[in-house]
Amino acid sequence: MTMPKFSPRLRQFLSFTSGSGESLDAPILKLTRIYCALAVGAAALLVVAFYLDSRLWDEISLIRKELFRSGQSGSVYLHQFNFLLTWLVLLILALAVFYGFKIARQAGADARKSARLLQEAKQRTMEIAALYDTSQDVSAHTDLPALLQTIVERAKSLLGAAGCAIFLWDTEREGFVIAVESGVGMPIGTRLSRHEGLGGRVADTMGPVIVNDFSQWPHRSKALRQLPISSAVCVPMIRGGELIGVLGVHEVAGTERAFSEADARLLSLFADNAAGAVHNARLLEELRNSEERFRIAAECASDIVYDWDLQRDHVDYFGPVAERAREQGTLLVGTRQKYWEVIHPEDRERVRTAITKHFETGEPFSEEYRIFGEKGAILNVADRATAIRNPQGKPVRLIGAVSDITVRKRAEQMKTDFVSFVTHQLRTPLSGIKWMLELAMDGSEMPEEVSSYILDARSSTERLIGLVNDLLDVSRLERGRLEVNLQQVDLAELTNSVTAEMSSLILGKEQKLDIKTDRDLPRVSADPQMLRQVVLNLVSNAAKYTPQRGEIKIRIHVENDRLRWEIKDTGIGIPRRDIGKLFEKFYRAGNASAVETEGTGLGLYLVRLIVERFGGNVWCESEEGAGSTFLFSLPLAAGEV
Amino acid sequence: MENLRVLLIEDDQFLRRACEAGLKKRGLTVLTAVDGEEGLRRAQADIPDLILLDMLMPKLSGMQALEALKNDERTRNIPVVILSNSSLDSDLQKAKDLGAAGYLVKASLSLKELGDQVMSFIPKKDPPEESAL
Repeated sequence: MTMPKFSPRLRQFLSFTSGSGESLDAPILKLTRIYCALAVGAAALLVVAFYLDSRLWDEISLIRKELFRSGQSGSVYLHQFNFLLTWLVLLILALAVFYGFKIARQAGADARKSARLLQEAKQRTMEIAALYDTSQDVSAHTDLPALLQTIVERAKSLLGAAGCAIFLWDTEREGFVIAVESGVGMPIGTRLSRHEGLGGRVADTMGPVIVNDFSQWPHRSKALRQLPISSAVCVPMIRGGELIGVLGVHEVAGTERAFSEADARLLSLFADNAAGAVHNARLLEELRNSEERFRIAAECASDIVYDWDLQRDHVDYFGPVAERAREQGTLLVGTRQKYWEVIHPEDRERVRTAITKHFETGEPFSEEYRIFGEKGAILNVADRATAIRNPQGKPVRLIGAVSDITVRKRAEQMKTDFVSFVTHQLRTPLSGIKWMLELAMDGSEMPEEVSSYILDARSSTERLIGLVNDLLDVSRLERGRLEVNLQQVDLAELTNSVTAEMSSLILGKEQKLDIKTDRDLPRVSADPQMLRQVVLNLVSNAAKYTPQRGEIKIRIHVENDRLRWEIKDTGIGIPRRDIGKLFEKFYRAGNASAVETEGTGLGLYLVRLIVERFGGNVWCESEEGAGSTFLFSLPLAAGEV
Repeated sequence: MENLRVLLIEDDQFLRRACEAGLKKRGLTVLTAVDGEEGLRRAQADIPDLILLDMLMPKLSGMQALEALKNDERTRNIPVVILSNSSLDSDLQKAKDLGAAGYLVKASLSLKELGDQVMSFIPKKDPPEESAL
C-alpha cells in the first residue's frame, strides 16, 4: 500500500529541515502533528505556512478525512491503524530498549558491587578468623615469644605483606628492642632508641604511621637501613594507656604497594591482641615472682602464715610449720570461729577488741596471747596481721603470722622468777644473820670488844641487805616490771619526811640542814615510794660525803613549768672526769671510797632510773673539794599550775 | 596477861630459831611448824591467836596454806601475817586478796620491830564487860 498522497508542499514540509537548511520547526513537532492528524482519522493533511520576512508567522492546517475515491477507503483505516500501531510499537520498543539498557547497566553495576562485597566479606572473614585464632592463642598460651611469633606470621599473611615485626618497649632503658620478626630477617634483639625510626614516630604520635616510600624516608633507623624495605605501616601496641611496643608490616623492594588506612586499621586489631598477650605474660611473670618471694618468706619464717577470708569465714595456712602440722595431723582450725575457742578464755576479749580496732582504725594488730595446743598445753603466741580491704574500705581478708613465743615467754618468766628467787634466797640467810646478831647483842653481858664486833657485823649485814634491795629494784625498773602506783606527790612533804628519818645521821655529824620551798608548791605525778627512794638516796649521799659541820641546802621550786628539786652540799665534791658517768650503773667516783666504803654504785643509778621513769631529768654540778649540787626536775602533775 | 599463842610457820631453821627467841622475849608462846602441811595441822589442832606464815616453802606453798586456812571454819578467823622475803607487789596484793591481815618483809625488820608488828596484829582479848552491845 502506498502512503496517502500528500501535496508536494507537505512532502517538502516533512523534509523541511533538510531542504532549505532552516529548521523552522522541530522534526518531532512535525511528526507529532502528523500523528495527531492521523489519530483523528485524517486521510490528508494540508499545512499552509505563512511567512513574513522569511519568518514563519502562522500556519493553517487542513485535514481531510476522506481521500478521493479510488476504492481504497477500507485500507485507509488499516493504513491509519498500521501507522498508529507502528508508532506505538516503535514507542514501546524504544522505551523497552531504553529501560532494558538501564536495567542491564544497573544489573551490571549490582553484579560488580556484589562481587566486590563478596570479596570484602571473604576478606573480613579471614581477618576475623585470624584475629579469633590469635585471641584464643593469647588467652590459652603463656609462652610469650611463641605467641608473638604467631601473631607476626598471621598479620603478615593477612595483609599479604613480605614481612612483619614486633618491637617491644623497654621501660628501663627507654627504648625499643626487636622482639620477633618474620620475613626480611631483621636482627632480633637489636635495640633502638626512643625516637629512632618508624617505632619512634609511632611512639610520638601513639597512632598508626604509614611510610610508603621507605627507602627514601630520612628517618629510617640505622639498623633497618640495610634492609630492602620499600613501604611499611606501623601501629602502636597500647595497654592501659601505656605503650607496650609497636607492630609493623612492610613490603620489600620489587613490590610496589602503598599501605592504606584500612591496612593500618587491621594491623591495629592485631596490635591490640599482641598488647594483650604481652600484658598477660608480664602479669603472669609478676605473679610467679611474688609467689616465689612469698614461698621463700614463708619457708624462712618459723611462723604459721594465715589467710582468713572474712566473708566465707575460712582460714588457709601456709609455711613449713603449717606443713609439718598437717603432716603430723595436728588440727589447724579451718574457721576463725573455731579459732576463738582455741584462744585462752582470759585473752579472748582482748584479742577480739584488738582485731576490731584494727578493722576500724587501721591501727596495727599485734597481740600476744595464749592458746591451747596439743593435749591441752598452753602455748604463748604472738600474732601480727593486716587487713586487706575492698575498694570501699571494708576489710575482706586478714593476713597474718603467728609465732610460738612460749620459749621466750618462759625465759622471761624464768628471769623474773629467778630474780625473785635469788633475792629471796639471799635475804633469807641475811635475815637469819641479822636477827641472830640482834639476839646476841641482847644477850648476856659481854666484853666491849665482842659487842663492837657484833655491831660491825650488823652494819655489814645491813649493807648487804641494802645491796640486795637495790639490785632487785634496779632489775625490776630496768625491765619495766616495777609496779608503779601513780599518785599526786607533794615533794616538800616528802622531803621533810625523809630528812626527819635522816635526822640522826645529820645531827650526828653536826651538819646544818636548810630546806627552802616555794609557797603553794604544785604536785607531781609519781609513785611516792619510788620518789621517796630518790630523795633518800640524794639526801643520804649529801650527808655521807659532807664532813662534820658541813652545810646541806635543799631547795624546791618551779622553773620552766617543771618542778625542780636541788640539794647543795659542802662536801668533797666530784672530780670533773667522773661527773658525766656518775649516774651509770655501779659507777663510783674516784674519791668516793675514801669517805664511804659501803657505796654500791647503784644509788645514783636508781635515782636516774626512777626520775626518768616519771618523765624527769637528773644532773649534777660539782667542784672537787668545794661541794656538789644534785638536781632533778619533774613535770608538774596534770592540772597543776 | 593471858598467854597469847603465835604459830610460826617457817621452813628456814635459823630464822625459825631467831624468830622464836625474839617473840618469846615478848612473853608470847610460840608454836612452830616447818612447812605448810604441818602448819595447817597445828593451826586446826591448837587454834593459835596469830599465825606467822612464810611464803616460799616446800610441799604446800605459803599462798596455798593461806587459802586453806581461810577456807577452814576452825581457822578462818585467826589473823594471818605473812612473813616473807619477797617484796613483790603482786605477792602482797595476792596475799591481801586471800585475806591476810598483814605482810612483813623479814630482811627489812629487826627482831624488835617484828615483835612490835606482831603485837599490833594480835586481836586484843577484851574483858567480857567491854564487849557489851
